[in-house]
Amino acid sequence: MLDPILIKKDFPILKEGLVYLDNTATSQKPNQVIEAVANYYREANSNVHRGIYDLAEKATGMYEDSRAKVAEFIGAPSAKEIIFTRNATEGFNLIAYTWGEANIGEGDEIIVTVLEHHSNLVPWQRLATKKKAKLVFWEPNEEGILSVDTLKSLITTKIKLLAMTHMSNVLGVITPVKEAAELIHQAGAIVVVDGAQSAPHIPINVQEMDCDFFVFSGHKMFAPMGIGVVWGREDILRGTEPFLSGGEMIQDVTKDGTTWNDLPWKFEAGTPNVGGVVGLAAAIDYINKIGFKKMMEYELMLLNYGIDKLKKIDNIKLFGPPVTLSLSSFDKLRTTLSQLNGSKGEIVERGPIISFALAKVHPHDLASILNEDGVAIRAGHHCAQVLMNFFKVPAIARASFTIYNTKEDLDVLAEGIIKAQKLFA
Amino acid sequence: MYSKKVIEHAKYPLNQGKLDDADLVQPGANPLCGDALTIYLKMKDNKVEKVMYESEGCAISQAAASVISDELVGKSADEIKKISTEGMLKLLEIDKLSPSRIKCAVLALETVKVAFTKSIE
Repeated sequence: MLDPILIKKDFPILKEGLVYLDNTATSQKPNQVIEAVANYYREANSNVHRGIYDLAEKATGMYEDSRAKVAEFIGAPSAKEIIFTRNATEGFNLIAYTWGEANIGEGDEIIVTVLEHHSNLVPWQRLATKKKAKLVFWEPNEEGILSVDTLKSLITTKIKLLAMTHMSNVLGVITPVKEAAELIHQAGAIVVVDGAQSAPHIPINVQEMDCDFFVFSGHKMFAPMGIGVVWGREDILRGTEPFLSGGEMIQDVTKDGTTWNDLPWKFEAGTPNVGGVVGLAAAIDYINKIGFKKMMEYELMLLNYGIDKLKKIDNIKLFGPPVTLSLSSFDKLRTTLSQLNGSKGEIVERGPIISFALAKVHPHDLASILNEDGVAIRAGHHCAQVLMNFFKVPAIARASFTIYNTKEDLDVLAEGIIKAQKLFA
Repeated sequence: MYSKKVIEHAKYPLNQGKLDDADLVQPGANPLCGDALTIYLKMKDNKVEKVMYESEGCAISQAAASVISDELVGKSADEIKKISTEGMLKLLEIDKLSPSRIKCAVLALETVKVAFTKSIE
């Protein structure tokens, strides 16, 4: 089993006894990533795709090598299909403003799940309003699990797009993307997947998943902030007009007009975040070196431990699938993992996120009280207000963890919760 | 940050509920954290005679509404407008509050100020 203490040593910010349980918001960065970014600026910084001097060639090489690494990381058939953005949110906007603008019209229907982060909801809501299209919500059951049968009942001849998360940022629930994509494709529509939460925790293969767009950000998977990725099918990207204009996305400009650069640069206007891209490649190296198999085993063990620990506390409500994965299902997972060659996704049903509410302590008060003991959790609506309304709560407390967290971190969390309950008892 | 006074008022809030014959009714909210309240003010001779409120939110925002429902009685609009953020924290007996939580502490007070500003307009 993975040793979190060794992992922790890679993360300089975790030295001060910080119990960081807000990894869903952003992960901390290992020295390997920090150094890669610093080294890029120390040794290779220059503008990419411009200069013909050695330094510019070096920077361009690092930038494009990183793109190839990202393609491999998510099982994309070609690096041409990897578009760098600032973050996942910009990625969804890119798709809505290009493919969405061109292909969605009056009376068309867009399905979004109730689990969505605002980033994969609001761009579609705006587009629907503008185009007089209809936004249809795919509701989960009360545990937060999406049923493909429910989706079946929502699909009409008007459907153009399904926007769905791969892993809920509130519940950790992993969704049936592959099954949904099959139905949606039969109806002649496309699927846009939010992989911001899944990419850091489970192996991704976009071809196996058979989605049309897969969007994620670097900063939740140990990479710097300010770098995101849109993967799109080459045929779709070819047939789509660019998003922003200027800089690298141009092939030729005359007084009469402009022609667009090839993929993927057609969608990358202006000087890109090369340092961020290099950092993302270093983060992928970091993950690959440990391996998803080890990471998933460890995170699942922590999830089980955390759920077991928290559910014993009085007056607590845990959200998400209530079943703690039993030893037998853990063994089943081990079997699945042993069969896994490292490229398949969608095995674990839930990622390392525990959301909960206390009967007598508001989540914001809990977060403040835990902060006094150096414990960082998130409290609020988690940019998922439609889901909060579904559960009829204004706010939820969320502890989310990763490979550098320990059982002791979750013990400190549980003690802090009990302390807060005593204060308001 | 959770002074005895905050805990006491959060647990046993004063003047909760709707005031049917209010002269001023003002809703207020911190959309980011979900604190929401409606303040009801009854005035007499240009001074506050009674304050009631309906609210939901964290302990700090609840305690702040409870404390001002008591403190503002007998004060004029001008006197209330002069109460600063520091003044509000003092009323709650809080030494230090993180910037993200200050808006919880001042929500009720700011809502009352909005009610007075609107009544002049």
